[in-house]
Amino acid sequence: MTVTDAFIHPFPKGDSTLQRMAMTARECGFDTLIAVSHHPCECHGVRILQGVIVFDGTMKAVTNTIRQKKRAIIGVAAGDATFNRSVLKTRGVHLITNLHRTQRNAFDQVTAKLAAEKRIAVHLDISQIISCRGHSRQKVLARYRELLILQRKFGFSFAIGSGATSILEQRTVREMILLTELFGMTKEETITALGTLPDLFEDTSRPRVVS
Amino acid sequence: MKHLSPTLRENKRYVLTSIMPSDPDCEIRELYYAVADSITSLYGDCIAAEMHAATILLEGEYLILRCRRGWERELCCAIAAIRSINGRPLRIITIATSGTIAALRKRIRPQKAGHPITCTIHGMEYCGIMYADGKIDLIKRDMKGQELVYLTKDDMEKFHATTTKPDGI
Repeated sequence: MTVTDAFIHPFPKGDSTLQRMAMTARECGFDTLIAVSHHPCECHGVRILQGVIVFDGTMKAVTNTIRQKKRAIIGVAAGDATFNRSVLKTRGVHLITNLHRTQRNAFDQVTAKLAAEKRIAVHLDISQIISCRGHSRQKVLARYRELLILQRKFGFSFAIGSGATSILEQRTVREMILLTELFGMTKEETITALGTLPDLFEDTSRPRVVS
Repeated sequence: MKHLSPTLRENKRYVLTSIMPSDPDCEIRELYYAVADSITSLYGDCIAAEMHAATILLEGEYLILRCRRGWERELCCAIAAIRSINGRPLRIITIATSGTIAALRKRIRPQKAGHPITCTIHGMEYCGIMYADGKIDLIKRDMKGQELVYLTKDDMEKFHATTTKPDGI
């Protein structure tokens, strides 16, 4: 079973190179990393997958990215309910991210059902729990708890990531389990969430039989 | 004065952690405040009082913490949520938990020996430490202050870096 850290931001965005982050990830118990704006490769026994996050909030940007980055894991930053539903209906999107920044109704039972149907994962950024303090951290934890309730009911996948820009922000698998426990996730759920993304990627990257 | 009988004594658990970067450049008191602040921020004052966390020993990159038995998971979680001390980015990694300090002391390894290097990347001079496992921590100094850059030996070749040891070789 793979253990994936969904979205790391190596040098030049961060202060650590991809190779160094791969080394740290291996020490932390990960075997796959999704690096934003880096080509797929293998470093120090860790499989690196290319990741792209679309922050634009328009469907045009989403479809353009899908067309241009065919071999990448595509994440889309969530917006309002209409945008999220359109994203979930788009083939080629692998996960929806930044849901902690959206309104409560932006991801409801309809969108949750759609995410489960279309096999699109919901990204949980652990760095938000670490870096935020006070009210903003409470909001993130409350939002993640709501998403967990929806996930248990409708069965869509979660993808967990450290969102690290430095080796100092990477966390071990055990630490991930402890941090996800803060919003009620069990150890088994966390381990499943850490392994889902490469499977979803394999599924959509295979050629489709049209008829 | 009579000592408290063992059955009435509070049971403690000790947690061995390691600090990254390996030269933390901070006092044990600062580490205690960071841990206490993280516990309070995550669980609140009531749990913090119940947990009774304390820093016991700082030996090189290793730090031993103490808490009341049964609260070690919460302590480890609070440790994982620490990201800086006095504005300096840092990471504290939990290594082991035990009921005695002696058991944890056995797990303390001698500090990784690194040799200082000076290198030039794209015309800019950096100084830093190169470790035996190929990891390199470089310090970039400019007008804004200093910044750490983490890379490996292979990256140095990619950046066409020219390295010199302190002896000039």
